[in-house]
Amino acid sequence: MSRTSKSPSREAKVAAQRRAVQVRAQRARALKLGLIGGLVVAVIGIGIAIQANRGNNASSGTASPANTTGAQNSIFTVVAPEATPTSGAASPTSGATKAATGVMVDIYEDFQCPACQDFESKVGSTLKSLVAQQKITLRYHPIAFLDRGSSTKYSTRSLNAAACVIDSKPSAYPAFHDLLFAQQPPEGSAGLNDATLISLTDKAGAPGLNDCVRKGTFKGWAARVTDQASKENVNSTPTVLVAGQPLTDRTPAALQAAVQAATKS
Amino acid sequence: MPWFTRSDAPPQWRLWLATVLRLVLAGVLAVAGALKLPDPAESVRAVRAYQLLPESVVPAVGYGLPVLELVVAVLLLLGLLTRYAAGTAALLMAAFIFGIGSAAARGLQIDCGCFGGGGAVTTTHYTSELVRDAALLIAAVVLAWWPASRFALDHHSHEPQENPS
Repeated sequence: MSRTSKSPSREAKVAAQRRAVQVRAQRARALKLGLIGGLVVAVIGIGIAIQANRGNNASSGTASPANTTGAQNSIFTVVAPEATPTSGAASPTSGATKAATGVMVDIYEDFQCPACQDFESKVGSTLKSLVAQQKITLRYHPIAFLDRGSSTKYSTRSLNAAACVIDSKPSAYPAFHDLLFAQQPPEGSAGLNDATLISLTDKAGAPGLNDCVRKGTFKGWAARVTDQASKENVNSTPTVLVAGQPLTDRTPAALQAAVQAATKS
Repeated sequence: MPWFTRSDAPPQWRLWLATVLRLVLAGVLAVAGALKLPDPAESVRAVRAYQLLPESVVPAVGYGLPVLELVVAVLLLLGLLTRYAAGTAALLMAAFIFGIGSAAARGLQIDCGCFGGGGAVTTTHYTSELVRDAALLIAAVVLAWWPASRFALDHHSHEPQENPS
């Protein structure tokens, strides 16, 4: 009698013990999972905060070059000179304060971009003559998104130098722009150093930019205008818009034809 | 049979397969995350170039994606929370496939930004990118299905273990 009555209760005890062990193990696992999961979420949160902070810092320099217009001051306008250049800050070729004439042509370029160099060497002179004939108003949107293409962020440094020129002597910008493309460093190189950039600003006719180039006065602006181009859905350079329409065949003949068509309409 | 053993312990080949999948996925995600990390602004522009997400969430995705990729890579490397990490990797790959496929369908000329960069490109590589991400998606799904593997910190390894009741 004792045997048959004791046996079930002992088994019940053992079973209860087993369940307790099981529950403890499950709780321990849940705790471990929760801790690790919480840690992972925290690490992701901190990482995003750091990235956001770094991303914002890049464009924190508030200075924008004078003689620029548009959202984030991203546009430098060139119109036909109406008179011979005079000395002084307000240069005839700086269109920021002038009324635009002719068809609007927008060009997004990066000084590190080989396709832009190719475009400028083939179509640059056509653009100049169209400007001179007052058939177009040329709006440069220089951007810097190819910092990966050099070991010294040449894309941003060259754009900063360009901004220095635009800011101090806008009439020298077209010449400086052409010099930068003519001396474009190969992809993957260290790019032109600051001393070379300064000598090019001198050569273009905008002296005294030593500090501006070396300090990177307009690096924040460079980051802002690059983001602005991205917001305008410009994802490759050169992007050429004739009266707002993308020019896909970037040849002198196609440009002439597009300008003519836009003039008539 | 004692209560703490499982009769359905995974066969050896499956443990090794899961181990290889873990390391492959971890390697690809680590490289992808590490290459995006240095330039947060570029990462944001690469996300924006797809023209899929509203501008209000584009920066968060651009900043968060490389971080998420790196964290998932570390978890997979350690074999920690393998099922969840593999599930997240699968979701990421599915999102990438959707994004790239959609960019291709809309005729966008963009770099996928998969391993940094992004935005500008003259020749697209959509087909190879889609094939690669599809292979990685399959790998991630298999790993999420069979997370038990060798050299893992996870509890649910090849060892005999208590039966989850």
